[in-house]
Amino acid sequence: MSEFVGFTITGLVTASIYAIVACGLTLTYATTGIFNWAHGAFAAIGAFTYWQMTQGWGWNPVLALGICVVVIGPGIGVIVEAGIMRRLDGTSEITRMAVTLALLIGIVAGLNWIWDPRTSKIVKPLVDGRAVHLFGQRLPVYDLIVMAIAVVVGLALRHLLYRQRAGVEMRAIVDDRNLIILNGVSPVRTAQLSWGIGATTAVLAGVLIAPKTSVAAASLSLLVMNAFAAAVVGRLRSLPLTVLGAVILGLSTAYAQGYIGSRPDIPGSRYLIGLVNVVPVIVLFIALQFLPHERLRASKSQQAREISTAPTWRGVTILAVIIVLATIALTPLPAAGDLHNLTRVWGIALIALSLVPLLGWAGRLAVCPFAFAAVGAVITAHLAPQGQIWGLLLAGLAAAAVGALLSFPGARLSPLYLALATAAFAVACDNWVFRLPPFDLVIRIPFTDVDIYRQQVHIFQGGALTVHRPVFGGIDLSSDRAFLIFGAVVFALALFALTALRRSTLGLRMLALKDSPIGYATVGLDKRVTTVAAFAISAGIAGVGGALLGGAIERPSPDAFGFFGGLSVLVVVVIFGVASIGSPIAAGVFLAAPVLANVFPSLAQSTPTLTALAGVGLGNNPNGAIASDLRPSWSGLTRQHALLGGGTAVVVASYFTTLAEVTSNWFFVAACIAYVVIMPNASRALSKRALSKRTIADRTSDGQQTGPLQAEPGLVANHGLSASPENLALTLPLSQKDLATLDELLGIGSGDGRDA
Amino acid sequence: MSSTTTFCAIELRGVSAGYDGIEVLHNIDLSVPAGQVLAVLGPNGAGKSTLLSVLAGLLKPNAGDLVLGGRTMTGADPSVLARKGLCLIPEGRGVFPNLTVSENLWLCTNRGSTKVRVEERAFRVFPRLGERRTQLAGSLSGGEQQMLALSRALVTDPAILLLDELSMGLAPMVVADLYRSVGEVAATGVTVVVVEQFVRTVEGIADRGIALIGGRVALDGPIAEITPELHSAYFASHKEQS
Amino acid sequence: MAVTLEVRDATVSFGGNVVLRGVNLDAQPGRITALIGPNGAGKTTLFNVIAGVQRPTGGSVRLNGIDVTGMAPHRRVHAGLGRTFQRLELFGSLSVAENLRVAASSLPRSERRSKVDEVIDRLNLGDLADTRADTLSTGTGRMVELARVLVGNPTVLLLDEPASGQDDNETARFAQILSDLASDGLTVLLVEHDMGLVMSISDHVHVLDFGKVIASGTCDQIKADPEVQAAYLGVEVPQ
Repeated sequence: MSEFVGFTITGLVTASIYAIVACGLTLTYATTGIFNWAHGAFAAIGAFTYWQMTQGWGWNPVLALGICVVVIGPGIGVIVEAGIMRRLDGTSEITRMAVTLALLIGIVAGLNWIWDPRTSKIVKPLVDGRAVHLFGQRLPVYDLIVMAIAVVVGLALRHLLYRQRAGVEMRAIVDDRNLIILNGVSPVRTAQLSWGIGATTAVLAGVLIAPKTSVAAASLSLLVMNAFAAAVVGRLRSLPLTVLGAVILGLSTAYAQGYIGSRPDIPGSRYLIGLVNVVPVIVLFIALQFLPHERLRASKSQQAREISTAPTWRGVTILAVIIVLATIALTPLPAAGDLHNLTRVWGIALIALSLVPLLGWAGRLAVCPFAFAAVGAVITAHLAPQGQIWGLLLAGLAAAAVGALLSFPGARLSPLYLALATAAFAVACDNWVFRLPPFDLVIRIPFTDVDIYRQQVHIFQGGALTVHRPVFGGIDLSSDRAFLIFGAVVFALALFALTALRRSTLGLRMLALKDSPIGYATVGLDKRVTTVAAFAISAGIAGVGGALLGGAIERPSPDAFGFFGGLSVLVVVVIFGVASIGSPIAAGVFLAAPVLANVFPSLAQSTPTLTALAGVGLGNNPNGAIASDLRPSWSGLTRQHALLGGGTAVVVASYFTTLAEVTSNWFFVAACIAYVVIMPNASRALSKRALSKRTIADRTSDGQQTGPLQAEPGLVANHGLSASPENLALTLPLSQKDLATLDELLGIGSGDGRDA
Repeated sequence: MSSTTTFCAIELRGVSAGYDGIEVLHNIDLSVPAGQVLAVLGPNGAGKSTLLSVLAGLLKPNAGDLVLGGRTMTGADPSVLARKGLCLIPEGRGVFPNLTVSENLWLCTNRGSTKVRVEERAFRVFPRLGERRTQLAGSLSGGEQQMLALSRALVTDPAILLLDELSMGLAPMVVADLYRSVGEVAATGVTVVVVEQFVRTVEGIADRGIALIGGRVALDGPIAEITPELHSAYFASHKEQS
Repeated sequence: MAVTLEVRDATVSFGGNVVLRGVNLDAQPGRITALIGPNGAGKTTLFNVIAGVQRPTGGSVRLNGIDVTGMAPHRRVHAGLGRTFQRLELFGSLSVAENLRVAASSLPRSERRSKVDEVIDRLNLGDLADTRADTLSTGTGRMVELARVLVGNPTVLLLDEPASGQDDNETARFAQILSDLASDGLTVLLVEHDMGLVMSISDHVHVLDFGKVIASGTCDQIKADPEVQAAYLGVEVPQ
């Protein structure tokens, strides 16, 4: 009995901290419509600055707490609102998610940059060691203070929302955004207030939780993300229900810990210890299943639509050939250690590619590509222990099956809730399933003692899988170079497969479902089939990618497939365009190639920092870099053979001089960078000159048909124009240059009779 | 209707506006002298609500200008216009359903009034709201909700009042009550634009009426003069089919 | 005459607010039936009840003799229902032809291509086949949406304000196509604000006010009906 009281009190202390965080999160979401994935990272900032002030500088803890709550928290909120979130008005759900995820990655990287993660940081509680005795229990005074602070925060929020005009405005904005504007209230001010309060609750929770755990950026962020479950119980709307959710969460965690976690004597406890760590995500998963069905309705006023051009066979063939040839050509250059790291490129690229059909085309926000990848790695390790080539195939099939299963509870969820559910799935795999101790897998004929199948299974083989690199038709692919080239070939084949999918009816149905779910129902199609297919295909690709990534690392631990790593992949893919099949290459190269680390060895955090910086800047460019920047600036080049040939020749020449060790690797890198920078600009300059010449020629001669260029709407994008075509002359003046470019693109003005 | 001698509170100059590429209003020119009560009539889908959205700054016109009190206000922030003295009571429920009556009124203090003063003025006109001041607005009857919505027009002392289908879904008695209050506001010199489908509801208070049909001003004149024309304007097609 | 669409006693209330009060409505093949009424009369709700997006509190909907009252929207399509939207619901990132291909994917494999070609031909959309749907004007978009519905071989066609966003020429063309479809034996039900369109092509008009059908008849009967005039104008108009 006294044990129960003890667990209950522990649970309530945890619940207090969760309640503080979750209320802030809910408040921000309800009033601004942006779900802050970086909420946990805000808490980490709080914990770190508090540690710095109290331990680093030896300040009074109460003063430090005060500064955190009064300065740091509101400061973060206001800066984040003004600098990032304000620009997200009217953007798609995926952009909002990618931006806050980028913020999360960036903050974690920044904290690790400032405070070396290798030194452990212990925070002493506000009140050290003292305790009171209550119900026969020893109760640390600090815990009482935490609960008291939670109550005070609750009362303060209540006071604000019901007794202050600013708070009433926040509730009003949840009811009717337009009407509050008609009342003369500026929504910007309300948003600022709500971000300020949200960030402050996170910072406060970070400070309070710091003494109970070690101060580490990523784990603190994840710990606070547990509170998402409480917010979902409150349906991201109701604060009282959110508090109830926090209590459920705190108590269930404490009871699980108390009754299962610390009892080695009960049967099966070694399998459940991991489960104790993932109680919050299980609560989240269950809470999501109790949400009401999303109603099918006509699309809301603004629906940001991403450009998604179907890849052509010609284009994908060129891309595939370049990928394989470039990989073959580049492998002799790097040092052996770098080459080993580089082998991860195609595994990560494939995992990134898995996001394209599911997120980019079908519009389902699943954030667990690394969990599918881990399934693939596990399956190859177990079923293809000698590196049999069909291990890859099995990896894909098994992951596809898991993906299909996950799609059933996921199909009915709205995008944000699906993202939360898949995040919960990924964390549960990470912290529990992949860390299970060995168990016997038994298939027994019912009601008998006859086993059809009995096998001891140890999912991650004692902490690290042994994934053999494949042997294919007598060719041993175990060297780094051979494996890297093999990866490129697999990736190239996957590109062809996805191109076929995108051009097939199934691919069209995925896009159709994303564009207009109600229109999709109207033509008599069942969305379930398409959803399951999208999940299975995506998971299958990720599974193959996981097998490749496992082969690259050779002995991957579950950490190699961590939830956080998956987020970086997702953000990079969104930056380059989640609907383009080219963006995964960028993700693979950027995240796996050791280029940045080589160039800036002192900046270990440069890759995540750059990812984050590019990610938070996404707000204005939801189509991604490929569709908006790269494709328009490079597509002109394909028509200028001399320039293209010349530039490429220079790069190839520098490649061979490097290979012959006449020049250094850096020379080659410099040549490549110069190529990337100079070519599009040179092409633009050339086409401009050619254009002005031709226009003059057309005026003077009768005008020969110079061959109209195809005006494919998706492809034209902003090519050479100062704005997108629909904005020209309407919101922006139409320049002479724009007119000329338009004429060129449309193939008019060259004597087709219209301007005769 | 030339009123060049009087000061124009509202002017639209060549305004075209719409949503998602559907143009609803086509090249509208309209001027409303200060203190006038203008009724905007027309069948549904004619662009009446869109017109009010443009006037209140909620919808930026695709072309043309909005001039309020002699100053060009095209593209101004609607919350700024509201603080300056423009009050739009939108169609349907112009209240926050999950806030109490009293909290709804609290949000009407944006033009320098106090909470106590606002409640006192609103309850004097609509005593029934006083009895329900702690009730959620969403639990009020339709008529009471409109009273609450209209209270904003009474207590914020606007210079321009825009009303969108105040009568929709309400019993005639209630509508008459509401329009009596509007009449009192109008008598203090406020410029009023009321949108209604039924000419009968505004006969008592409007000085002038316009009929919007197909996004264009089809009729313009004193209410009594345009009423007989309405039938042919509504039912005779403005787009003759061949 | 046979009745392909039959609404009986449809009642819908949101909370205490009754939007439809026992509406009865029939539509026959080969005829264009229009549903009109002032704002807030319940037209959209009735439309949604027929399309299956809104579940009625009471009453039933029958399509071609089959009771579809509780049926999901995508299954009603297989019972012969096709609808368009007031706000376009095209698949914006797909081309016009691809929009139709998606719709055709519920047909037997052998019929898909020929059906798409046939509809493109019939509605004269050949020039636009490769144009992305979200770059179309609203008027053209309406035609594409109609085409997408026709691919599914509907017997009953529900149109939600097809004239809005169309210019006069487009409306005239659209009206012509609707008349042709009706004479081919389709049942066409139209919810429309544009009296010009309604009065020029409808064979039968139902007028809804305060959630009830207050009048139904031919266009001339409706124009002359004093109750309709009262509903629309709020005044008695001398004849």
